[in-house]
Amino acid sequence: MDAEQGRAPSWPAEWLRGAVGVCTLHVIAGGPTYGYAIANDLARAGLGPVKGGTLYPLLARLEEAGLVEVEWRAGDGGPGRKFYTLTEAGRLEHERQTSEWLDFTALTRTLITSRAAAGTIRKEPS
Amino acid sequence: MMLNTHTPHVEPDWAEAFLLELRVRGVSGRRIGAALAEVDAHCAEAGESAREAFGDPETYASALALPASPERLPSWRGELVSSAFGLGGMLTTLVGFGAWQTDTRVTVTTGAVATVGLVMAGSALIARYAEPLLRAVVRRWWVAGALAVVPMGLFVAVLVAGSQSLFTLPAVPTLAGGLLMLVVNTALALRERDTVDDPVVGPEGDSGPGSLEDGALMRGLARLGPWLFPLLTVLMAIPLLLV
Repeated sequence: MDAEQGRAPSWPAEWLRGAVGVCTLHVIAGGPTYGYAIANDLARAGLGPVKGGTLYPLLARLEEAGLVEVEWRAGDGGPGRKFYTLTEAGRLEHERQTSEWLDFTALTRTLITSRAAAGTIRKEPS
Repeated sequence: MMLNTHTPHVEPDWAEAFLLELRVRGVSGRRIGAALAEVDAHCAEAGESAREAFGDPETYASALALPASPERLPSWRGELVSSAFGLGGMLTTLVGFGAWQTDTRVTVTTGAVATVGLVMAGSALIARYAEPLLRAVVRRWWVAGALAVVPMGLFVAVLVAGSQSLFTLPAVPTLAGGLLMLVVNTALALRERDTVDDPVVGPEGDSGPGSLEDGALMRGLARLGPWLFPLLTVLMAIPLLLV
């Protein structure tokens, strides 16, 4: 894999599980692409290596939900590749998830950069 | 014997376990072929083995959550009904034929009635637990052997133990009834073969990645299948003719 040029590649698995859906939709929104290329784009963005066992079940769910269209194209001298393109429903889902994810990350960012004591009810020291 | 799925970049044992797990789950042949071809394409480009990139084949097959095709599961039940007609037809024809040869009547014993009951109960159980049973047969060869041998042994024991005569039947109508059951069995099996033939085919067609290569043996068995019980009946009737 020619990847992992970004930040530290080993984010906690539970963070990746939350982010990989919206990130994959975003990569596909950039134009028709296929599994291995998506994995590479995600790794290059700094998410670290995303295993086939994580990525392809996600792509299968997008396909079953009608969020992507698939088309088989010839590979460069190798086996054919399954290309994914967002459908109209997929485009709307991409917008929705992006907006929600931005709200969520803004919220967590605000919280963790604010003064810890503000507005919280603290247990009185006994 | 390993299955050939035309996926040179995937370990054969991984591809086989993956294919069988999806088959047991009732996924259509086209979806299985496409999933195999995609694994092959990924492994070819990543230079990783399927086990490295996708992990355990059965876990991956389950994670894909591909829908079962609606006509696949009932087909097991159809096959069971047609086999019951085949087995019943074969035995009825043989006893009818034997009685006709010796100019006697067919004696129906308590053991014979009990065996029919056991076959029906067993068939219902198999139909009810088709999926876990198939999975066990696919994963452990001895389960298939046990499923073939244990019921046979049980039937023979019941037939031998229940030798008390209940009633007799005339030879010719029994023979005719048996032959009719064989005709029903073959007709059902022929229809079954035509309607639920669901080969594993990859996106590039018959010999492309993800397509399961049918060996000559498998093709021969598929062609012979619907005629199995009539053929067995003829073979087993030959000794009766020679007596």
